[in-house]
Amino acid sequence: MRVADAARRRLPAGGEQVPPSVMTDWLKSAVALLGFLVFIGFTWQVLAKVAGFDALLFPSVPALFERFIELAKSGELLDETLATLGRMALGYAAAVVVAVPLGLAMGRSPLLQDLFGPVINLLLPIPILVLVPLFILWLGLTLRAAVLLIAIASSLPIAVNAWSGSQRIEPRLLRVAQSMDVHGLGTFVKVVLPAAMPSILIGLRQGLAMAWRAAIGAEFFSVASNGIGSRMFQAKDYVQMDVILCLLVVIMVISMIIDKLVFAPLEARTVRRWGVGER
Amino acid sequence: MSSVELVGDLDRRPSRETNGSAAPVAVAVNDFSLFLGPKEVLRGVDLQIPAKQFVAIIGPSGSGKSTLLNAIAGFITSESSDAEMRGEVLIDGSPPAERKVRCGVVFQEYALYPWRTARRNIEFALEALRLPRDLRRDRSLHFLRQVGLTASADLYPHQLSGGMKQRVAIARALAYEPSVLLMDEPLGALDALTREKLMQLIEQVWRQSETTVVYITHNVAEAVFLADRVLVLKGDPGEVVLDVPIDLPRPRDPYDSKALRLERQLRDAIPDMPVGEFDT
Repeated sequence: MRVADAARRRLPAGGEQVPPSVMTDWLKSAVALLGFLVFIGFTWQVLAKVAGFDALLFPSVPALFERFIELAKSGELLDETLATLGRMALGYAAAVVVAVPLGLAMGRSPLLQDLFGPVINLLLPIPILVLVPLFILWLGLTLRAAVLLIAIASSLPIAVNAWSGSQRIEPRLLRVAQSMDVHGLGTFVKVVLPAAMPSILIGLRQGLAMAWRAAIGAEFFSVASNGIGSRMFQAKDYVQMDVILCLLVVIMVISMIIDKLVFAPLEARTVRRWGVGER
Repeated sequence: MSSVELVGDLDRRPSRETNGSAAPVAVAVNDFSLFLGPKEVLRGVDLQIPAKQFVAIIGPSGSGKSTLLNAIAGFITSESSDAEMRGEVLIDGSPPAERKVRCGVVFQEYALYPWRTARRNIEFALEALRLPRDLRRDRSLHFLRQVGLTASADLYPHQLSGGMKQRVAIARALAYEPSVLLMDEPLGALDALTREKLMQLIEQVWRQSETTVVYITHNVAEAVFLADRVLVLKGDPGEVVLDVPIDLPRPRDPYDSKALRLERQLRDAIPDMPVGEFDT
């Protein structure tokens, strides 16, 4: 029983570690982002002032702050951000719901693998924005087109990672279920899904990055007429460098918040608690 | 019949003799040969295991003993792999895929679900039995108690030592209430001290149960301590070369002089075993 005691003593230590490490994670990321912005801001300011670049193309840091507050106060910032995030949420949610089960099933079924594997592998290296002209012609400049684009873009890495995760499941884990006459959906939910979780989480992260690209890209190409991307593109036409830069920072900050608010807790509750880690 | 005499006339003995009375056959392997691709892994294995018997199968690595266990468990089928089989494997009269009795399996590497605590790993078996949720908790704690791990019920496998993991795996297999328990080198990954403790635990829980056990090992001492009967497999291709009853009274003492002598004689009697292939 001495071994049991040792292990029990280990647990509280590990259990206590999780909350502070999540907090320090937050702090670290915030400091890193802040440091990065200060560095860029400082260099920027030096370039703008000392080198005497055109203030229109290199707005000073205080001018950027002013613009940011103006954008925030007018409600414009919130509207554009919500427009983009709304589209992303729809597309990404659709991608998760379809691509996670599909990818997992592909790893367990040679038939599904042969059916979808080649298509996914063909689409994977292609920049998703090449589909924009097709979608515009098929679906017009509609919400549907933008959401579908985002869904396809993010579903690819999600499916690929779920697929490889379910392929690499330790056969013994499946055999235990098989020996107890657990088959089909039971095995899928109780063994395949949790066993592939490290890979699934990687896919979800990559998928969200793809959703950002597709959303901003779709807005650049006017598939959608509002949102962060279209506001940036419009700012280019009006030479509003300050707006472009403000929105760039907004994208970075939102990405960080989503990562810390969604993915970090998800990891803490699953792969880290289980001690399986990401490979 | 003393154990010394038994080893004196080692040869293939019909299994019925070893267990005395005519208990129903729980596991039957009839003239079973298995090819994996071009390689002949098992050749003409004949084996009748009466219900409730504890059979140890020993042999050097590569002798096909794990393959034999996998075939009995139904993990190797002619459709699913490039395996080709002749003869038959029957569990309670049915092929493994259509068996009507429950089989538990314990692997050397534990095969615990890392996302379930010790207790929830055991509950996996209870869920498989479709036990109602409110009964599962008590039942799983009962099995945890049986393997001495109540204090670790809510720990995840990565927080457990190797020996503790294997206790959980054994408890999970027992919780499925199997009539046949298949164990594939369950103590192979453990240190000598832990191994000895677990050996005694396995013997103890088996005596309390009604289970037939097929126990794969390359450790002669384990086999002599645990089994009613030891089969020796010679490798490449795997063939049964010895079938030895172990008539020592239970509970056994691994350091009892009879046991040690039997162990020694068994090791000596095993033909063509390279030195060092067996550890003690």
